[in-house]
Amino acid sequence: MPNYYFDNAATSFPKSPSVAVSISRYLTECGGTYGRGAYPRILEASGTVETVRESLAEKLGTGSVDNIVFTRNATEALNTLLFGLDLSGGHILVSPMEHNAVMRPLEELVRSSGAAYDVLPHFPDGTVDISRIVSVLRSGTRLVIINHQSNVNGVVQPVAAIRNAVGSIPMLLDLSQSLGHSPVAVDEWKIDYAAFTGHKGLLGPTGIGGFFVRRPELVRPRVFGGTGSNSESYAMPEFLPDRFEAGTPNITGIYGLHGALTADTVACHSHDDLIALIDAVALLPGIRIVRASDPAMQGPVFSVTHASIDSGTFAQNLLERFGIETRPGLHCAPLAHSTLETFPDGTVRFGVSPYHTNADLEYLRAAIESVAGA
Amino acid sequence: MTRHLLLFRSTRAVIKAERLLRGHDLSCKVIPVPRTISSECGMAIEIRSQEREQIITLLAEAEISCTPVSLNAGF
Repeated sequence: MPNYYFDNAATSFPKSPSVAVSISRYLTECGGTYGRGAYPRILEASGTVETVRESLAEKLGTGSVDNIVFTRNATEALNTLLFGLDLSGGHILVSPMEHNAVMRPLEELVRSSGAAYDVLPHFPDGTVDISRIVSVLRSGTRLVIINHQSNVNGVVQPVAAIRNAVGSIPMLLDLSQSLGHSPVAVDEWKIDYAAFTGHKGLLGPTGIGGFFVRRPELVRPRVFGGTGSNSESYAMPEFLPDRFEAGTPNITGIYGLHGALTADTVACHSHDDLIALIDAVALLPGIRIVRASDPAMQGPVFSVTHASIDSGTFAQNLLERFGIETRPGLHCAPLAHSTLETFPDGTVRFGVSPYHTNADLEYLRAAIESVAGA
Repeated sequence: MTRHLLLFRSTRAVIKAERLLRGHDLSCKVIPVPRTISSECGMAIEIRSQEREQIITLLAEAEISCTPVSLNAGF
């Protein structure tokens, strides 16, 4: 069946069939909460939660499974980390491709606590320029935030090289777009904090995400409440994962993510096929392609602008004439668009799924050609 | 008769311990923590007397911290 949904950078679709099966099984058969008793339903639900935590640790490239914490999404994870760390009066460096999930909390930190930030030096496609990082480092730099894969042009940052350049300064990785698409190695890269979501590259449901925290004692919890542990105390537990998991978790979402993580999803196209599509679109009249300069650092997201058709009209034409679903505009990433010189007009963004076949990619190319030439 | 329980600080620790013990064919049963004991995580694992030392060693090797408790029946 043709798949004309190209908004996978917003949320993935379709999901593996096992996602719905797993959610349905939880809702209709298993039930049970997490860690608030000892009867079989609770043990099964709690066991699944812990299995998913272990799978996520493997995806993140860490042996510290207890240091994986569930949240609703990456935005909540980033807020927990940025407001939980003591960054008051400190200096922060951000990649040039940050999403508002980072920039809005950061601006609030600037306003409320006197923190200051600078954007890392970069190349035109948003790749951090390693050779110039030293020029923006300060003695008071407390955190370096890196958007691992852009949600606008798909560029993947050279995290290991950035780590080498910033030395021992704590690093926070935003894995919202990359986890499930690009290799992640938080232990090898000596990453201190990482935020992720379940509904994009991992192909799971919305409403479930989380973060990795290497030194939890440096992060104050944002949510306080029951954890099923230390119930005689009014204080939050200091151990992980309970320190950051007050309240009943989204067990339905975790079951869905379990279905996604255990699915045997085989990509219907190769990375070379994706690059061939982007190369072909780049040649179309009136089109400016917005992509990674190095094909090896290209994730499954790219954008276009048109010389005379605004992004909203272009996207609407793709929908009405070809049934293609995309997202035009600024994609909640004004900093990234400024970096790419596509602010304030924005772009039409295409988020490719592993379920897209080469026929789907060719259909998209032909549709862009037709709309661009109209 | 004395009952032997293991207390853990978190649900995750209980789940890890139960899987480890079952993987070694050791008898274990997850039960609510008796009210007479400090609550810890609300779940405890009951084990057999003759396997107690082996289990405590196994959990220590796996770096799963627990507190062994022995109680007289009828608690």
